[in-house]
Amino acid sequence: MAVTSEVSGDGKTVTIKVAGRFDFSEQKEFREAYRNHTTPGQQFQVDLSGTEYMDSSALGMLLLLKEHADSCKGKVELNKPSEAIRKILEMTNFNRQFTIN
Amino acid sequence: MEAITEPARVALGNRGKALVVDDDITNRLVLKSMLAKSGFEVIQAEDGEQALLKYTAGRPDIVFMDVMMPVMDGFEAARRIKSLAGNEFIPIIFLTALTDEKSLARCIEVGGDDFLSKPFSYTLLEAKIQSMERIRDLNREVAGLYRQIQHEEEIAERIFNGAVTNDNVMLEQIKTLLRPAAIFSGDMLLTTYSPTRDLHVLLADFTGHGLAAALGALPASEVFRTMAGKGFLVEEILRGINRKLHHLLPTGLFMAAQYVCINSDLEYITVCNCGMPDILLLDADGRHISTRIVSRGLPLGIDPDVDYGEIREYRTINRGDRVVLASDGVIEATNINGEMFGEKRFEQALCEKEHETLKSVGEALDVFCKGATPSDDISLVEVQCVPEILPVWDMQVLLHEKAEAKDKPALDENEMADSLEFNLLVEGRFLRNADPVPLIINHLVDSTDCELPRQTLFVILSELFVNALDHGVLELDSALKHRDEGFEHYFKQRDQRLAALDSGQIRISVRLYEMREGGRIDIQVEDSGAGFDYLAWEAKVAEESVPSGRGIYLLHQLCESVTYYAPGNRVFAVYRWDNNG
Repeated sequence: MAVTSEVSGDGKTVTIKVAGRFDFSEQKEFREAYRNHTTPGQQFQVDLSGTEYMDSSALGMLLLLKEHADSCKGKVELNKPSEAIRKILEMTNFNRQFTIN
Repeated sequence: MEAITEPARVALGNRGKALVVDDDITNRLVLKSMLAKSGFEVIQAEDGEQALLKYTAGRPDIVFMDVMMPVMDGFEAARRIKSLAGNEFIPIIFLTALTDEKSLARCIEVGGDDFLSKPFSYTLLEAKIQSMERIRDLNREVAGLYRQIQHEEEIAERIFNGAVTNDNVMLEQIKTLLRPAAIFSGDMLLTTYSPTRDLHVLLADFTGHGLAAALGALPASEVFRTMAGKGFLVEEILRGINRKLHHLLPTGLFMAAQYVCINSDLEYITVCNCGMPDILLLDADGRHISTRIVSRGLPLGIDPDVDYGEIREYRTINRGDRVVLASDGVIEATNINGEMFGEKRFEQALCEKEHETLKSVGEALDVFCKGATPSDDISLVEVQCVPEILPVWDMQVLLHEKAEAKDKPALDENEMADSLEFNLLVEGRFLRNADPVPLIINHLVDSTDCELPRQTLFVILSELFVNALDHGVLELDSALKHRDEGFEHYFKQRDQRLAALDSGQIRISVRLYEMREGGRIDIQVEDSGAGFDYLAWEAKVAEESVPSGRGIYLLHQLCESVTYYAPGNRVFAVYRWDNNG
């Protein structure tokens, strides 16, 4: 499975990992990974270290995640993107919408 | 379509047609009576060859096939029937006396869907048939849904072509390489002219493909054409599209865009890149990339409050320069090894041969992607900055109208009475983003039934307003434009001074006289600046060596009179037209 998720012991942080291609085919799994986490102040960490490719639908999915996080006053961080993915995020100026580590 | 609404067919006596293929008449008759009891209409064949004929003539819903037969055996017949059936799912069940694993495996290899060893029980046969029918019904449902989607995409494409792309200005000088991944692609190219003949080009890339991607195409193109056609500035048009899309599109759907506006003097371009690969500016022969404009903006439809005035840029151009727009599909085109075409290969191909920019890229893509299915839309557009891309100023028509009007006697008292006047004052910080000309024109059009020469009025008003703002309030020196990269410097200084502006004013008065067959407009523009050397300017006009600039030249040509008042910060222009001219 390309999308895996993990909740920290205290339940405050959800880490979503997307491996391989991050595109429209991951939409359902990606949404399932966060939709039931609505605790106020919920942290969402998206681990992109294993993501090889990302298209515009993936960017759209990240925006949906951000909207979800905003609705429960939470936060989204994108972690460890490869050089190529970082370039896409910069080109689309998503680096101003998200914290990228 | 029927498969979508029709429930699984189980009613006895109505299970469709079965083809029984066996060279042994006893076997055929036994099977026939079993199938008839289960509700099948049965047709028969004695060997493989006859089976093909019966299949073609009778179009059965299911086939029962013996293996060893004279003329053509069951394996060959099954292979051919499957190939005749194409995308339609026609289950073939082998009934065979063979029991060795190899032969049974072969039944499936040649395209059979299941097998049963003879002798078989009626219960087992019935179970297999039901299982096949379930698969067949599912197949039909999927095929039906697929047809429905295709049908809808075709309709969407027709609407798209009719409403979006057919209105584009089509020019030989705008070269394109467009390869959509889906029928209905997420990429869109829009072109149109402003009233001052500037060419506006927008290459957009919506999230995803197909219908979802196309949702935003109609509103975006509508706003683009309407606002550009009314003469709004690039930043205003982008703001309009952005707001509309943000309002209409759900989160997660957005539009990346490359925007280029080529000014009608072919002196500079206004560019804005929102989430797309670099916009490239190439020399006339296409061998060298002189400038690249990187993405500075967020794609449109995400954040409603983007100030595009801060991210659009100006670049000086030379005649013949080529502006190249490209969607990410070009760079991300992938070959069978999963490798991407990439920026380096793209730019190398682009500059490889003189004048063959897009053609070379197309060829390089063909070689690189051979055998791979494209996963994203590929759009590549090149506009060459030559006079041919601009519409011809119909000076004859414009001046003809004026000449005709000149011959008319002066307005009489009664006619002078039918008039409308309004004043507009833009002051202080409001001047920073002021774009009052389209608003004035709209207001005039809304206030009168008579037909106004919109384009001419636009040119006159724009020229008067821009002069008042740039040279009056902002005190910019137009000599700046004539140096190397002059327009960059000029507009940079203009942006800086505008951003810091918190005093100054421009007052515009417009008075419209409506007459039986035309009209007259008096325009007065006054700014808070120190004024310019209007006497020298008038002297040049008098000796017919009008200073450079399309605007001033046209202003002088179009208006019945243009009068400056001391100290050169107030101008009064009179324009008359005749609708029967």
